[in-house]
Amino acid sequence: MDRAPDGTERTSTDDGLPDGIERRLVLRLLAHWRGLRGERAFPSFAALEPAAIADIWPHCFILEPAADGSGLVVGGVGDALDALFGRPLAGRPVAEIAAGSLPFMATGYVDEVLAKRAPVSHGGTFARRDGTRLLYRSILLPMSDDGATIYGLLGAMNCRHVVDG
Amino acid sequence: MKCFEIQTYKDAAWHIDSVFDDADIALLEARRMDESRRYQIVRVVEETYDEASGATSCRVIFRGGRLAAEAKARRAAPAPPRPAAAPPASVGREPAHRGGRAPAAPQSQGLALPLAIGALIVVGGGAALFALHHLSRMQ
Repeated sequence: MDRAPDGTERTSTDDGLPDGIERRLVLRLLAHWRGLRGERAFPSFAALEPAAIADIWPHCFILEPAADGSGLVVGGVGDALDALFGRPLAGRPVAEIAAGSLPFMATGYVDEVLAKRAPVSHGGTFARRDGTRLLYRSILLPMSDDGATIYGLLGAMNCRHVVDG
Repeated sequence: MKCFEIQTYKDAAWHIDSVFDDADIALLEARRMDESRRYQIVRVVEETYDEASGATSCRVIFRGGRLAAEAKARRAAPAPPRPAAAPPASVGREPAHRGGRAPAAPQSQGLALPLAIGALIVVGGGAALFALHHLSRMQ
């Protein structure tokens, strides 16, 4: 069996969650989003409490309108994603995120979310420059200030290394 | 290129709940929503986009929700038993009613129709004989 390159980060499969609890991060965030939404079409950022999703928040990011109205910008990124992406993204316009990059895998389908007006989740395999491969899954969830007009997006992404065997 | 939409039915319209690019995750989430019993109808629609033709085709790969569960339960429930024929009336007691159904009709009412038909035949036959006799006398 082939071994992963030296220094490949290995993550434990013990996530500390009780049995029966959904382990997929994007589905847990989706369930939380539905709870915030209630009877409205979309929840608001004001209702978001990072402490309530403390285990998910480090994997989250926010896309919000640019001050000049030119499009969406990255409003904030969780610590785990900052480390994963390898460079800070806060403040960067979404349109400037390089196609084919890992951050693009998390943010590149904004148009689909705006068209469907519903949460959208994408996943796949990403090949890194060091030869390792990541299995990722991300989700973008529409947020609103008035419950009807999409103001920004809440996103999340998590990955695990693929070990060829 | 495929995508899988979880849709719910509410206020006489279908609404997109969420969209996935993976059938397994979409079905997992739809089944969870189904088991929650919070939704009238939940379905997963597979959308396939043909890049060559530009056409999109759809098919439902999962259907659930409260209404589907109730319909399934009705189909699975055993048929209610037929009410037993009313026993002969015993002295001083009426037969017990079950489920508000009316008791079986007494047997005397069942003879009315045959008796009436019989009477009609007798009267009709007598009239026919009388007419034949009268005609024969005229000739």
